Amino acid sequence: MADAIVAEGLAKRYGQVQALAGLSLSVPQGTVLGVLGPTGAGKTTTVRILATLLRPDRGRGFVNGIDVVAEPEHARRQLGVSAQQTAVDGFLTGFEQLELLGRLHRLGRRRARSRAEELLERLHLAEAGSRAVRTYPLAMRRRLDLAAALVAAPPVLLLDEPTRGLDPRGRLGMWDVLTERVRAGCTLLLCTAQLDEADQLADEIVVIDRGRVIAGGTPEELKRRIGGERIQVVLGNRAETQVVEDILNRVCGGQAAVLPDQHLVQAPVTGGAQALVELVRRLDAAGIEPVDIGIHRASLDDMFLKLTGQAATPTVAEEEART
Amino acid sequence: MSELGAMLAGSAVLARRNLRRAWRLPGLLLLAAGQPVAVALFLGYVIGPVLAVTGYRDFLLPGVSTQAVAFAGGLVAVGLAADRRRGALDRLRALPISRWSVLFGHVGANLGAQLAALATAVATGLVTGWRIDAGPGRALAGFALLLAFGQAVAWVSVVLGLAARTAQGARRLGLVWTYPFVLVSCAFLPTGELPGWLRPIAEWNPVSVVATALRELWHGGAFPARELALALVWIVGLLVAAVPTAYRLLARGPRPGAGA
Ligand SMILES: Nc1ncnc2c1ncn2[C@@H]1O[C@H](COP(=O)(O)OP(=O)(O)OP(=O)(O)O)[C@@H](O)[C@H]1O
Ligand SMILES: [Mg+2]
Repeated sequence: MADAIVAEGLAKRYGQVQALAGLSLSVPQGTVLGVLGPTGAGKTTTVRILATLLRPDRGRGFVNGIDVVAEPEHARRQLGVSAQQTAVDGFLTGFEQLELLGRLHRLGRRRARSRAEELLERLHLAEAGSRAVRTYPLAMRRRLDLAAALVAAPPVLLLDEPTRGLDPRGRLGMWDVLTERVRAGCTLLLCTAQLDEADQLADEIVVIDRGRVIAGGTPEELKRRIGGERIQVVLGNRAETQVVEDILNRVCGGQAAVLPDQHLVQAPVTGGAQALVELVRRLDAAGIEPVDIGIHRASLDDMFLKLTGQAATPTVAEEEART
Repeated sequence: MSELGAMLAGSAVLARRNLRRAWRLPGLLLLAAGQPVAVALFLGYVIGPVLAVTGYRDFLLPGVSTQAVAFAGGLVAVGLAADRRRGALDRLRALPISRWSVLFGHVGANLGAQLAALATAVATGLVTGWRIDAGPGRALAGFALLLAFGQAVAWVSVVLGLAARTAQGARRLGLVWTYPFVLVSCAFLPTGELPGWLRPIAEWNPVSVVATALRELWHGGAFPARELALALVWIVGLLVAAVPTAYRLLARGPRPGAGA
């Protein structure tokens, strides 16, 4: 399969900061590449270069085989871009925003309008279409921003943290829309600082740090390397430890481990939700009442600890607090 | 559609967007329209009587009109800075449209602010008894000169708005660069009132040159070919310097806006 997006040895320096230091990646047509990295890793810089907004100091980028540095005008015809900062016009209505972009893409008045209606419908914005964008909550702005990138039905989408700042419901809504786009044949480059988002949406993930790729593979491969989901059961009564361990082994297919002084039994698991239901059923049947029971997922921080032996700098939590 | 046609169509679509913004967030339009009224009334009724300048009203109104379009032209930087800050400029830069469309969209919509400013300046004059002495041909030539000057100012403001390091800076710089030109000019006072060392600067200043040509057109005797030629040299010079520079800066891209 041909690669729809390629970056070869991209380098970019801002004054003292080496934002990109020879970053390479490729995304086969019709697939999703998750670009995962902490704040300052170089995600936005990568997207801006591929989107023809910024010239790299070194290296090359291609979308559908078109060189983004040498032929930016052509490359732009292949691209839909949704930047980290939502770029929607507060003084327009959602409909006007999309119609405007349709006109700029030279769809003609009639088609620009019908396309705007269609996208508002598809992104669950139909109700709000006639309202000024400045009244939209963030989740709606994000969806409108994505709709804006979709106006010309581009084959390649570059999305820079499309769910940043959204609540869980907003995130799920966005994921649905993106999944649907991929089914329609789009190629996606999806930057994110959230491991579960990359896990959910990406076919392949590259982990970047300080402008370099430091790991890559399918979500499964990466999770295996860092120990993905675990089910943990916290017990009130240590006498039950052995029984619980047996049950966990049965549910999760072995590898249950006991940390006695913490009253904790845990086991790695895939498909956590079903396993959890099964576990609860069996614990209940055995008459055991745990203090706590839950699924723990490795975070980006855990992953960085595993991959680089040091915490992501600065941590994602700090970054969330900042924005 | 030809490339030129597409560029013009894109410019029109974006000019309409920018006019919508001006209309829906009317603060700037009101400023552009209100400012010449305030200046004309203040100078005409508070400062004018103190000056020993004969025919001050005929002197003042062309000056205020020149100042009004210069001020309104500078306002183009405000919308541009907002687009920089909000990422809208990047969105447009990532579209398969000509970069000229983005520029013409801003400068074109700015014509609305210039017309509003000029209209209120002239209306204030008319209400207070001022009249253009020349015939309709020279009167219209005067308005054309003013709008051409306004365009030149707007393009320079676009350059400054794109060159500034931050969106904040873009807004300020694009807006205020005309102030010193207006202040050290014959827009409001004959240059004879200025200290000697400032006089040559004031006389060659584009605001003075345009205001002088306008006075001669509207209130003078013989057709002011020399004054007009000088004004056109300034206008064309500014455009020749600013227009390609604006394009280059937009293509290179201003620094991205987050928080800036
Ligand atoms: N315009 C700029 N001027 C100076 N430094 C910059 C500029 N843009 C980015 N940088 C720096 O380059 C590095 C990479 O930034 P980039 O925005 O690409 O990271 P990111 O992975 O998108 O981070 P975030 O999660 O914060 O969006 C950072 O250290 C950042 O501070
Ligand atoms: Mg970023």
